[in-house]
Amino acid sequence: MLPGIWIEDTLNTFWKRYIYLVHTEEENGMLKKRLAFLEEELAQRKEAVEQNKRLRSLLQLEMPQYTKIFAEVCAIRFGPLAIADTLLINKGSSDAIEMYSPVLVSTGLVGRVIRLAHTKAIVLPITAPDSKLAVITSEGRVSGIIVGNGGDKDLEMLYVPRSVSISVGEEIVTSGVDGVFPKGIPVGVVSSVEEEDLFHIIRVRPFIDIRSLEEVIVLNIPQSEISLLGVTKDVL
Amino acid sequence: MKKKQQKMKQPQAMSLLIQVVYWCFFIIVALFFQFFIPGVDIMLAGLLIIIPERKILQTILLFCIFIILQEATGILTFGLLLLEYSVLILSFFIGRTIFAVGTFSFVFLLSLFISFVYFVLIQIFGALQGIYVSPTSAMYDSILQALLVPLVWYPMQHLYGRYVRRGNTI
Repeated sequence: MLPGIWIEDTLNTFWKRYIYLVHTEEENGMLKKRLAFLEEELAQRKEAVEQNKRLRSLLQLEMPQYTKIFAEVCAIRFGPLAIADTLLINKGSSDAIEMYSPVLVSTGLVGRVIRLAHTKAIVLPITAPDSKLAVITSEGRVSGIIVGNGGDKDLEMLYVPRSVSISVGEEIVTSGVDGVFPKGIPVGVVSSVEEEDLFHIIRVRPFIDIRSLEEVIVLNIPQSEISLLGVTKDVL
Repeated sequence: MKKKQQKMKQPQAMSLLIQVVYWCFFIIVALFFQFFIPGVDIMLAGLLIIIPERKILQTILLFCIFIILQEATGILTFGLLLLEYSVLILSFFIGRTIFAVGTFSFVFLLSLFISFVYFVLIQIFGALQGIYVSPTSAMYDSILQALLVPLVWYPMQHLYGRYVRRGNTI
């Protein structure tokens, strides 16, 4: 019986170690390819979920009176002549975007369109040194003008007299008197208040991070509504 | 006779095709760099490749294409790059009398000079348009450009010599 058991064991081992494993390498290769494909698909799904979240948050913007145009940010400060941190977006005049149209995301104001082509537009962000917009504090209703300081620096709120009180942490929104931005769009939050001769020196931390923008909304404001305000857009 | 003419035309057409493919590839490379490194002008490297070739028509064509592409992406009014590229061509011909053309050191010096010209011009254009141009940011861009242009020029020049120039001699 012993030789029989030995033969059976040997045959079993031979089968399990060699014959059964003949296609293992091939199968292993196939499974690795499948794994790589599934990992790529998973990454794409995750990206789609994140994009979905961002788009949903953009949809939640409550501005039913204006036409919203979704746009993707193609590049930030592209080329040698993009001196400010300008954004290049993938929508232009063919998508009903107009010069000076406000651009925003769910968290707050991004800037305004300053150059327009048929299928592309360039946006000047609120952080650029040449950006100026009329704002108001959400609690004290103190109005002023916000200017950008370039790069990642905080914005500066000008022409707020020392006689009025303004506190750190107060939210700043657009006042709408500049004729470019509708009233009530969040801009930032007061990060510091210092006193000077006549006016406060107020620093405002913007709600948006220019470098991380991917999708934005461009508001199409009817010309009649802008002219009602009686302010020329070229002033800003 | 006709067959001979056809035979002559075939290599010419091939050479033209190679040149078109090369310049399309160059523009893609330049745009790729500009996408990831903001504020720099990589198209300068292309001009530094084509100017020594003495192909006037091609130089003018590329000059126009580069200007149109670059000027469209900025917020400054038209003209800065027209001046900058013109200064590049002029300084190339002046530099040719002193330095050996086509060497890395010559291109580096030219790139350094033209980046300085860019820095001066952007300040002037910004001031004329009432747009604030941060001198620190402009200087940083200029230095980066001065370093990057020769680095892009070197492999692209090598590719040009290997495939395009050789293709022309067929």
